[in-house]
Amino acid sequence: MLEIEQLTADHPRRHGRGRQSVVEDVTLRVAAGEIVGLVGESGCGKTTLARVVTGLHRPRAGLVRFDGADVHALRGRALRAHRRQVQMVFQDPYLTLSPAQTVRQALAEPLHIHRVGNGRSRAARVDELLDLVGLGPAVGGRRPRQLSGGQQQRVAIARALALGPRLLVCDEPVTALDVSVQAKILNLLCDLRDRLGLACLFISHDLAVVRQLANRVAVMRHGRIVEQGPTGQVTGDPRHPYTRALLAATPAIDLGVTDRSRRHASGPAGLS
Amino acid sequence: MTAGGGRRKIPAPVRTALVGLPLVGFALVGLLAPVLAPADPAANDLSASLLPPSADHLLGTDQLGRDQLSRLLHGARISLTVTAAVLVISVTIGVLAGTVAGYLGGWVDRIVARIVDMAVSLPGMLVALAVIGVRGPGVENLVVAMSLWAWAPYARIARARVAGLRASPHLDALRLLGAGPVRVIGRHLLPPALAPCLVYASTDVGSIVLGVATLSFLGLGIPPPQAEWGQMLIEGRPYLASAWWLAYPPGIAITAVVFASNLLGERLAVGDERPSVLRWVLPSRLRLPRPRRPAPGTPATVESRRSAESRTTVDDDVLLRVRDLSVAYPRDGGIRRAVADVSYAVRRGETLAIVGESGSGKTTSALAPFGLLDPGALVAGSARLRTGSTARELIGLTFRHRRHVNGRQVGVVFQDSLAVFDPLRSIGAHVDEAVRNAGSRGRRAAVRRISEDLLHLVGLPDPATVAGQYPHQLSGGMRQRVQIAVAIAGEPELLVADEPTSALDVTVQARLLDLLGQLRDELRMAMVVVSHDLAVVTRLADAVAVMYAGRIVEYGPLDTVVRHPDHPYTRGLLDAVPRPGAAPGTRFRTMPGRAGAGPDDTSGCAFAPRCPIAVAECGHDQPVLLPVGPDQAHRSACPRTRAAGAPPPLLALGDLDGG
Repeated sequence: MLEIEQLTADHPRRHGRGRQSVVEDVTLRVAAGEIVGLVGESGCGKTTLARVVTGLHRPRAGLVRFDGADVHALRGRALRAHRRQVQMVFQDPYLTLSPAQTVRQALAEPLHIHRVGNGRSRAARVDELLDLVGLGPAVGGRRPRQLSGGQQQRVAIARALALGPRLLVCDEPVTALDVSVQAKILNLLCDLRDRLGLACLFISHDLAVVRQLANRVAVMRHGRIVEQGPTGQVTGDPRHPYTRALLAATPAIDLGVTDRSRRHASGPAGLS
Repeated sequence: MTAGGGRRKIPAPVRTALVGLPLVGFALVGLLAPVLAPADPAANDLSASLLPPSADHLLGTDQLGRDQLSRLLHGARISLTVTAAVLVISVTIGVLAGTVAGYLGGWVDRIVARIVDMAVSLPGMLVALAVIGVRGPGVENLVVAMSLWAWAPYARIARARVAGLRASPHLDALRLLGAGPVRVIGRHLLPPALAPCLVYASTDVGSIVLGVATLSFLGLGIPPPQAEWGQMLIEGRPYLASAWWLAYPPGIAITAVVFASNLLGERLAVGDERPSVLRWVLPSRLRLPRPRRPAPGTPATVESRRSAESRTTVDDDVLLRVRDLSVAYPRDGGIRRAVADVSYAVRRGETLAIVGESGSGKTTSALAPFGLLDPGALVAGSARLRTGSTARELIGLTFRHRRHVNGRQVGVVFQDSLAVFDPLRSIGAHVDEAVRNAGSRGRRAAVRRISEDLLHLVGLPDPATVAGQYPHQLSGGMRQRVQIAVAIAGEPELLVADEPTSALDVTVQARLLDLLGQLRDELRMAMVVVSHDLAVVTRLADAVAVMYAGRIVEYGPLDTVVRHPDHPYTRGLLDAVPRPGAAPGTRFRTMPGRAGAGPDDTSGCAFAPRCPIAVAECGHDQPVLLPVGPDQAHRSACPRTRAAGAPPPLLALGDLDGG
């Protein structure tokens, strides 16, 4: 469904002249109903890749095709139609929601933009969206700062889903959240894939999350993809040394690491 | 309204409304002048000229026998009309120009910015004089003349506001949703740009009223016979000694309006810009109903202290012992605890991890003993730091005494490494300062050498170069290393790290945790690490305190807590961590509901509403931290698991060992 071919993208250099490549020669595919995890450290070009895929940033070379059509050649009506197919979820939900809008207003906004339905059918769709992401109707009247981080991210996801996209690009959607909240958002993405057949390009620096969530994994470093394949293969039998380093650094409750505790066999200092 | 409540505090929106009242009065008087005025302000009656105030003419009459009160009221009407017209024109032009320029950027922005700069730098009165000089006096010309210079500050404010918003992901999200520029500007940029402009406008009312009066005083504003305050002043001037009632009332009126508008502007600008204006306009819509809370200080406090004291252990190696720590903040006229009855202890060379969700009080518990909270925080309980053979009580220390503790005996590393550094000072200057604070006297070069040694110690390969750089030039991981260098400059015995790696990549995170562990062992420091991620702290910690809603719910050696979690919340937290052995596509295990708010929100166990094994009693009996099984070191605050005997380990051990 989504095909990224030999994509190269750059930014103007912050100091000095010229442009600096941040994504180089990336080829990646996302099929319908598939979650593809894209893993790498900050500054490796993940976010730029996401912005190129969604059309927010123009590539220097290469193609992004969605359903066979070049995303960056779309104009006018075709572009509007494409917008309904591909949506994005950002890292910080609070920053992506308008502080003055209530949740209901935020969710109805894409429907207004694309002139979908009338007042009543929009309200019904908003109810449906709230339900879809597991938020009660009471949340609808609140503003972003009255919500917890997890709720904000749910609202952001619901807004991205309002137009019924087929691909969701998620840029570090759970990095700003607590571990316990994170799990719920990840389950929500799994559910959406299973129920709606939604495809997802899931960008994260956390291999532990991607390992459990994604069908396929691509590992990115310095703008290039160094390894990609089915999740089990990449995490179980990593070929590239960088993938191995990432795996080793991934926090996990693995009791082999906690041998320090055995040294302090007496446990924590008494409370008295 | 103010006196009725005695010493009761007036809520902020009401206070704002009270401050705004004089201006509302001015507007009402202006609007209703034709109704309120007892006589025609232009009706001459030479037989009644220069009469002092009386029942017939409350403010007397002027030299032409016109009723002064009527003229004063009609003067308010003229001032109001001109002010309103000038404000509407200049706010509209200014906000539109500023918003569009800020949104589009590029050459449009540069041109608008230059025009604004010019308009702001021109002396407003001269511009007005020039315009009136060309076009002659009169209400319309006055409005044009004043709008010409009044719009520029609005454009500047709006432009700054929008330029700040332009890069925000919120606009990217809108663009992706397909929103065009008209919608983005109209719906999402104008409202936030307008809000600070309205705040500024409340101050501007005063200067416009003053400007109109000044121009009229000079004979360039409103021509006679229309009543206008400035003109009344100039007409009353010859009679200052004989007929005081001519000049005083308009003078007082002008002063009052200017004062009132400045006062309101001040008041609105104090709070965060947008909400205070909205609150002023729509007081009810932004406020959520808040449930009443029970009074702080539940009976469980005494009980937990008794249970703690019954098991005094002699442990000389304990460096920091915190006992029954409670932290409260004054809020909504009452006092509300954020942390209740927290006790923990750390030995030399040992690491205690305090783990919990956002808002669980973990950071507050770790920082409270060192006076690093908001000055409004009320801290109770005890925190004893052992130095040598004596122990020093940290709670209630004065600022002066605290200086000997913080930075020397205790080092602190915060989460946000960009915020803790002064952006205008080099890294070297920061570390030098820490070295000097730690007691090193000596020449610059000697101090810098120590600083570079420290930077080298925390794993920065080229200390001399790093010392010359500024905070924004370093990556997050490097800045965090510098923070550690600053924290250990005084060779502290205790290092407190608040989410030291939360904002960092996993690889950087792993290296930093290793560094912390290595420094702790080399310097034989005790460490308190705060984190929301149990998996992160397993790399470092010896003991864990799990916090929920401001209380410790489980406390014990890391191994025991992770392998045999007792409290249902700890198990939930452990479950939420992605597991290495899980097949791709496995659902993540979650806890129902959302995090509890604070220790004073329920009389019972705060976790009960989310707990799979809760019974009715959990809702009203405050659980106490008690030993789990024979191991005194492992404690949990769940009476249910105690009653049920040893709980089955939640994760099969095969899972944990990576099988």
